Amino acid sequence: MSGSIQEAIGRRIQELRKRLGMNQTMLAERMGFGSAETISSIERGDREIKAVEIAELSKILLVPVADLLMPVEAEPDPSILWRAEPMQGREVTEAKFLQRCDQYAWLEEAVGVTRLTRFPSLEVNPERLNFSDATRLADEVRRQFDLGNRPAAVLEKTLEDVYGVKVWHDKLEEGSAASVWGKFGPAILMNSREAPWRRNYNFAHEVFHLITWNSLPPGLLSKRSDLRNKVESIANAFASQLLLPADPVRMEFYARVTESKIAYSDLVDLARSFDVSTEALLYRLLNLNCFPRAAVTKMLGDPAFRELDRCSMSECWHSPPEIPERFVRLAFLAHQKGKLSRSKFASLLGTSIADLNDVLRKYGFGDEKDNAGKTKVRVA
Amino acid sequence: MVMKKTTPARPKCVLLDACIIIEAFNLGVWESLIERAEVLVSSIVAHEETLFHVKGQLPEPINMKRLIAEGKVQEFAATASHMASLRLCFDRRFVEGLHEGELEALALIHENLVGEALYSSGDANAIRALAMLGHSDRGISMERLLKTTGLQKAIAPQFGDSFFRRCIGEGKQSRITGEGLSKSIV
Repeated sequence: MSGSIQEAIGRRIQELRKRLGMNQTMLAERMGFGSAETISSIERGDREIKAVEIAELSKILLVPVADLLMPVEAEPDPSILWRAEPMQGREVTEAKFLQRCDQYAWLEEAVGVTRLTRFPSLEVNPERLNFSDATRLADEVRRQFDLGNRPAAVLEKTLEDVYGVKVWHDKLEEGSAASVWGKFGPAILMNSREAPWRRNYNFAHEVFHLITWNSLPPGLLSKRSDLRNKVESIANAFASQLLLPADPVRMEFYARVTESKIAYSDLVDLARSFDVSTEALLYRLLNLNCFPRAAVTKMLGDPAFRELDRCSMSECWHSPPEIPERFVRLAFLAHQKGKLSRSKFASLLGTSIADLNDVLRKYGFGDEKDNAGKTKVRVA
Repeated sequence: MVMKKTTPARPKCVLLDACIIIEAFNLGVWESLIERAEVLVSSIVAHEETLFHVKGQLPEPINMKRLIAEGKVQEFAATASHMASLRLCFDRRFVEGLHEGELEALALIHENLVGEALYSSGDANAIRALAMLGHSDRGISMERLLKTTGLQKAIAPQFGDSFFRRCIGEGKQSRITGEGLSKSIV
């Protein structure tokens, strides 16, 4: 290899190492090298890198081997907007998320996914933004997304399947959710440790950020904490109004009221029925004038109400799959179309070639086999 | 009447992809194959044990490091330079569909680092890539490999000769149209 390419690979490795907040010693340790000097000589372009080393570096630095081998002028990573930023390991979490989004986009391109429905971008004025915008946008999104009377039940699938939003779940120690809009389109990172109804709320919150991404970009929000705080409150209001549409909530609520009273168990059941937390439901009912504030405060502080809420959680608790079902579907399709090798397919699903069929069965796919068959269709 | 003893064809020198190794193991011919053919693997296939894990465990007969140490399988290593030269031949969309072990194996063939060894893979993309690089004559299907080593078995279609020939044909076609190749090569 000419020195210039070797040097370019070295520079790229250095850039990627710094992106993850690693020093040369840390990378050397991860690579199993005796000293940081080996990394230093690789980064200077003085030491030839072995194939196994480049494969290992790509895993540690969270980029495809192909990108390490042909370094081009790297574009800056898109800014990620966190609901609550993790204090530790943020760089690695973000790099993993962006790598997964790139892989997702590659799969879409490989199988020729053409998106017929574009994710909406709605204009808001940052200076005049207020709570009526939350109501207006929630109504508009619920209508456009066709979310019906139980929006939480279909929101995630609609985002993924209809709008191509790339959704990843990760077991984060900190932080609830994040969103980003990159070359790969809109994407959401969700903390899978959160309760299902909390995740639904987070999804709705992140939808607000994604639809207003152009008007309220992360760059603007990071510069102005006052605006950031206001936007977060309005995103919460949007989430509440999106997941708990006024008419169905009122109707369901009053259907359970007898002699001007409602049982705690009915309230908990109502929250589960809309797939939201009891807190979210109670605040929405307060907002809809179904309860006075004092009643809501009293209920939230009542151990009997809390206990009833907790008891009903376990049977509704479900964890998302480690890899999104749509990602697996696209990878399966790419492999069937001969665009993705079996080894790479297994690696994308985080498994071995030997275990690939078992993993696919878990997602409802049969064994992969040569399937190059095609059939004629009637052209409209 | 004297029975004529059948001798298997002369052992081939073959560079195997991980999927061929797994399939040979599943068919129960892996041990015989490494006895009857000169088996080569790329260093990534040799070192990336996770390729062969079965539910988190490594099946002892595919302990590649042990087989290499015993001289039953030979490891060949490319450098990042070789892989970078190969990478330059393909466009990004195509190359991202290949595993790094396959990229290294293709680099070993393309850079002429494994002599006359033939490359065997059950992956459409890897087989196509071989032909796209102009090495159509350097590939062998698993079906053919087993036949020439006297280990004939009923195998899945993607390891068959007709699948292999179809992929080679598609790769040759791409070499003409430039599909999947980088613009500088076309």
